[in-house]
Amino acid sequence: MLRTIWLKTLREYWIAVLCWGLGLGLLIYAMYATAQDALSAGVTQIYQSFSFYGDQVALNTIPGYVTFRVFGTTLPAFLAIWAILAGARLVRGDEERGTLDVLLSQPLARIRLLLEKLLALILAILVMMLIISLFILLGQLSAKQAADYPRALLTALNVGLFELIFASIALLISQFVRWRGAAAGWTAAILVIMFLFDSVGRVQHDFDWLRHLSIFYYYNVNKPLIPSVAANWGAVMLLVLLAVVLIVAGALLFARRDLGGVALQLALNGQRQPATVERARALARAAGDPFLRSLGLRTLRAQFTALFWWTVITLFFVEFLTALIPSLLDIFRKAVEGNAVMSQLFSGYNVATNQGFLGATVFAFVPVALTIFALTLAHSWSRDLDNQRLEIILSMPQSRLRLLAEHASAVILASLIPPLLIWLSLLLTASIINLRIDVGDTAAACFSMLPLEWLTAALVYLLATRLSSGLTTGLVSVFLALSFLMEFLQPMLKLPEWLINLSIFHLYGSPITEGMRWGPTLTVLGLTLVVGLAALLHFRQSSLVARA
Amino acid sequence: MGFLRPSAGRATIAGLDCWSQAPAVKRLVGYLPSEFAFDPGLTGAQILTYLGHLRGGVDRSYVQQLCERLDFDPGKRFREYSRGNRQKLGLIQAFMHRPRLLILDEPSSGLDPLNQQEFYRMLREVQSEGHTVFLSSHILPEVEQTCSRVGIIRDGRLVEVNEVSRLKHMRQQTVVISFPGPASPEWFQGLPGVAAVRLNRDGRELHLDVQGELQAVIKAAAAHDALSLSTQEPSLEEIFLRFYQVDQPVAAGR
Repeated sequence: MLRTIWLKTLREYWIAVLCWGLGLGLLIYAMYATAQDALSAGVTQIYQSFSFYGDQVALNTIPGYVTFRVFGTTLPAFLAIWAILAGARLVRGDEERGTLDVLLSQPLARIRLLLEKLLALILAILVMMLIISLFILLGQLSAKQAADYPRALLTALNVGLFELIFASIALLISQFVRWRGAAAGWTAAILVIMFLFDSVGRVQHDFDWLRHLSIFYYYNVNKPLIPSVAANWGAVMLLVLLAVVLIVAGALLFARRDLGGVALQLALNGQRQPATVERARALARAAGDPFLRSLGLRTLRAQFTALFWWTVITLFFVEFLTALIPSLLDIFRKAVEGNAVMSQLFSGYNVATNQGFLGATVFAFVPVALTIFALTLAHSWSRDLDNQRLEIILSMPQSRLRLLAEHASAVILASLIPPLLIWLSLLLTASIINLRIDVGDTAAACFSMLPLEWLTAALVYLLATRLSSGLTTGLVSVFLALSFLMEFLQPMLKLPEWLINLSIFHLYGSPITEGMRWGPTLTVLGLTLVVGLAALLHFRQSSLVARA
Repeated sequence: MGFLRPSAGRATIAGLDCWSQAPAVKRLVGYLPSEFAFDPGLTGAQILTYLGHLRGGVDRSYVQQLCERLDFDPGKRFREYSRGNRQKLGLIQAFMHRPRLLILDEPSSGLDPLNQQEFYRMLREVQSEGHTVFLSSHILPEVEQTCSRVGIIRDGRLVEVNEVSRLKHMRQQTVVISFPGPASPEWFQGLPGVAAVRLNRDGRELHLDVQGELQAVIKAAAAHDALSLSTQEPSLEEIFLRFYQVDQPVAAGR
């Protein structure tokens, strides 16, 4: 696997290919397996209000339902996260690591290097799509549909083409910016804009023209799973042409620009010298930065971008669902009335009430999202321990206790902001759309998430004293995943009380409908305190290199 | 530095325990690790300001002076610095609070010759102010040039600690003596300090490994009408290599 660049690059992709392929494949299979029950329960009534989300073609058939739920937006957009990251780091990643210098010092043309890497990416996407097509086939069989592999394969290939385009956009943008993160960020923004163009155009007929600017539109024109939708080869050709243009443009820019530089510098060369920043000015500017005064403030500043985006996305999710309550409540009431399957879909919440709806839609997922957020915040500590960025900080005349406590305080403060803003925005939206919700119960639902976040962070700090960053994050992630799955599947698994109480999401419960649950909340808080103290004491005593 | 917990014994700096009184110790110390790593998104100026705050404040004009001496541009982000510039940043942060003790791990690696010379001048200045520099290096000519005492570590144990000059003096030197006619090794064998005598190919030159004073060798050479006598003092590198020779027993640490 190390004989050529494309084989070596393909080798780097195989874990991602397997994980994404199998993960998404299982999602498709599950969707097929539950499609008939959901359709019989009349779920299409609800989805008719979700036209912003996707085309509703043959929604009352299993292929139509699966296309709407999975292949319209969810799967291509979700997989685009991987494609965008892969495209952005295709050459920029090697440049950042400094490995591209070594590769290009070999007798090898730049264009060839890029094309070999692209070949590996295309092959990785193809293998992923083959896995997905097999799961579509299995799904068809599980739903007692006629097995139609050609349609399954065409559906997967259509997704693959969509992913290749976004990887190519990221590749092209990475020629204009210095860092792969920036390239990925800009491409993700294009993905969101494309989705909005398509959605707004679909919902507002006056803006129908907007859809034609969106890649989602040309991707969704073809719905190979649905036999009644004829193939539109023009749309396919357009997408192929777009991918080729993007790749050619990216390759040409890569071949001509400076290594480590950006494409636009070509035009500036010879006209402007790079500005030399005066030392005194740079030092004076830094001296005025309040976030450089302590490790706590610096940590807070470093986490600001993550905090901002997590908060914005969570708020968007919460607000969107809250705003839907008036229009959806009646539909839910009718759908759930006397229907056991539908009730089970919403984990036993009474979705015909405002707070029940919020519990089933918002507060079943936001606690999970915010604990993952806390995990990422605390992860920066273990990551910095691993890559020796903390070595110089620990050589400063400050005690270890103080440094860890400052980092933890920054994490505590950052993790407090999303629940607080969710609570305030819920109250604001409710008052604007005249929705009745209990202020106390909403506060309980929001602030009961804090102990979960803090316990997650404390676990990271404790494990990081002994284990490597990857192992620490992995173990805490497994704990969170098990906690969620146990609670999510509890109606089916019926785990004994002592076991289900190990799930922090079970201990969180349903404060939005039941109010503050002081017992479990204080239990988690107490546990957090114990784990946090253990982390502080262990860190004070441990050698820096004695981590596995 | 309070990084590693001792398995036995204790280490002190200025009478302070390195583990239990680590913050007080670090106040006295300027430290440069072998790999200076930091948040890649911060500029050099931000890093120096941040570390200055963590030290409880440093003299900004001195920091600027250090930047100028090492020709360091603090306006760039850490990820944009070359290895040499990262090393300069590491050196500036180690020097910026005028520490009583500098602990520097491979301090000149990555520096260009001009900056290396400037760094050696900075070392001599702090030495002349009475401060201590504790420097670890694999570039032995640099150690020879900048240090007054050296310690040699072999297999994780300190096998020698001495003044550079005494170490060189104590160790064997090679003496080359030429004669007008055929020479005999027997003339010098058994003389005080003579460890080995070798005859070269034409039989008129002798190579002696001598430890200590040379009076007896000079007298014997004169007695046999020697034409010339030269001594080759071993470099620190040669001394170091002798410690690493397989058959050289490891002495107890001092």
